[in-house]
Amino acid sequence: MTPVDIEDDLRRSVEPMYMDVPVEQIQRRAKHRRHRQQRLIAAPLAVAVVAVALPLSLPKDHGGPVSAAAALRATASSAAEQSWTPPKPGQYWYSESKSMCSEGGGDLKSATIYLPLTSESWMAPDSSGRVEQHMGTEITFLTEQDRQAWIDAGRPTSEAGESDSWTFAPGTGAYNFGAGALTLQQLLDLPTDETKLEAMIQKAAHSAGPSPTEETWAIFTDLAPTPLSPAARAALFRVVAANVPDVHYLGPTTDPLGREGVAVARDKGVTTTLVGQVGVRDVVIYDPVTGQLLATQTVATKADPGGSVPVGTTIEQDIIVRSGWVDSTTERPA
Amino acid sequence: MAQDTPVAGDFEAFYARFRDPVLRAVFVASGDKEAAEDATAEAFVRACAKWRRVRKHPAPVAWVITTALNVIRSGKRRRRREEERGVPVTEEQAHNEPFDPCLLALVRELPVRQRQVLALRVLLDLSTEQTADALGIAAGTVTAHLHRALESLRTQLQDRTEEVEQ
Repeated sequence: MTPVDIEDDLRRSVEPMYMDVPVEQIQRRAKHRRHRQQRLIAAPLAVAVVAVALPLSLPKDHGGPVSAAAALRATASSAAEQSWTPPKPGQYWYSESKSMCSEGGGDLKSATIYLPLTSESWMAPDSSGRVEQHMGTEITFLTEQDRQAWIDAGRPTSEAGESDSWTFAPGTGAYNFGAGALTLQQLLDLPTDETKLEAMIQKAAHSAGPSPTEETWAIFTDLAPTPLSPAARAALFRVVAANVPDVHYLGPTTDPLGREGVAVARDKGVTTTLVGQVGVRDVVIYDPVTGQLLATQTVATKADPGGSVPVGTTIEQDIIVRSGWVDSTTERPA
Repeated sequence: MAQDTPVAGDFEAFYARFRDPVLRAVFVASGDKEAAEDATAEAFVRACAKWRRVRKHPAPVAWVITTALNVIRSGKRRRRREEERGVPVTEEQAHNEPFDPCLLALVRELPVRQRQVLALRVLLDLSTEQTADALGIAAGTVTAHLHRALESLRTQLQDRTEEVEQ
């Protein structure tokens, strides 16, 4: 038998194997990965935003008498009292976020590195707008193994220092909503009545995945940073309080920028991440008066089987630095 | 979804073209069918999530398979424990079992690097340079590994044939 025969036999021997995962499922998982990590979506994103190698002072489980549901309802009551001016025609919703962007695969071989990512987006109600992203140059690692693997791979810099900017036409920008998406105008038109909003969220949650509770929580974290009216935000907090029973109240805290807020969290069990299989907890830090989202973090609560990621490590982080209505796609709020 | 529109078509075509070859290559490289399926899906998810960047790669399929092999490596311990517990094979998993288990058994006995080179060069038809780049080894090493792998398989198949004839 010649080498060519062997090659042919090898090809034939695996011919019956085929990948039966539909592309829609791959795209949905990719979309969830992007959206989980990048709360504000305004156009196709070039990167997967993830983790933070920095030790952060996360709030401990409060353990006190305050339940998460009570805290969420208290914020709902307070948020509903806030004043609000709807956007004027021609205005854009501006948002700036800072995240840590994980990179793996390709030139990086087995290493996972982290780069700081600043994203700015301008979104019009018709879902046209602009995005600017800049990747910082400071490379960090979650584990010593990653650092060594990065050195062994020849110290690739991946996207460090790169900037990207793009505009998008009306109707092409979108915000996450379950397995689907909403335009900014649709967000502004969300029901302010709790019962109606609950029905809408529950419908989206049931079609988005096998766990409506999980999907309701995901919808909450997707909607929280968007420009909801105070009444809609209040309704959102009440819907979460009523439909996501396994939320923990972590109590008053400060976000990574030092802003005062309140933290709630939900444990998600063991999850596949770029740093392996780890048990994770989603932490949401918000302003208890307005209900505005300040930051989200994902923290390792159970070490991966390889033991390389210590418990308590923040492996994902997204900080909403500032947001507001502006008159053009070059303006930023004060 | 709307936000994927500008690149979705490209990725769909890429996935349709390479999903089966990548799965087969990952399977041959790893020797573990279930892990190969999981890792291939995960690698394509990562490629899709950052498709604007990956599609600029000189060999996107090499990027995907490198990622899949790394996913397998990182998940190996977990899967080993599952195998020890005995994870039942479902009907869906069984319907596309590879045939010629003898050849695949021989391939599985090859050193890991030889299996990887065999998978990338033969099943994905990557060039020597692309394979070297994907695996992080020199082009000359790729050639040497491929030669050794094929020679080893040839010898063992010949021995097996002679045993049968006797």
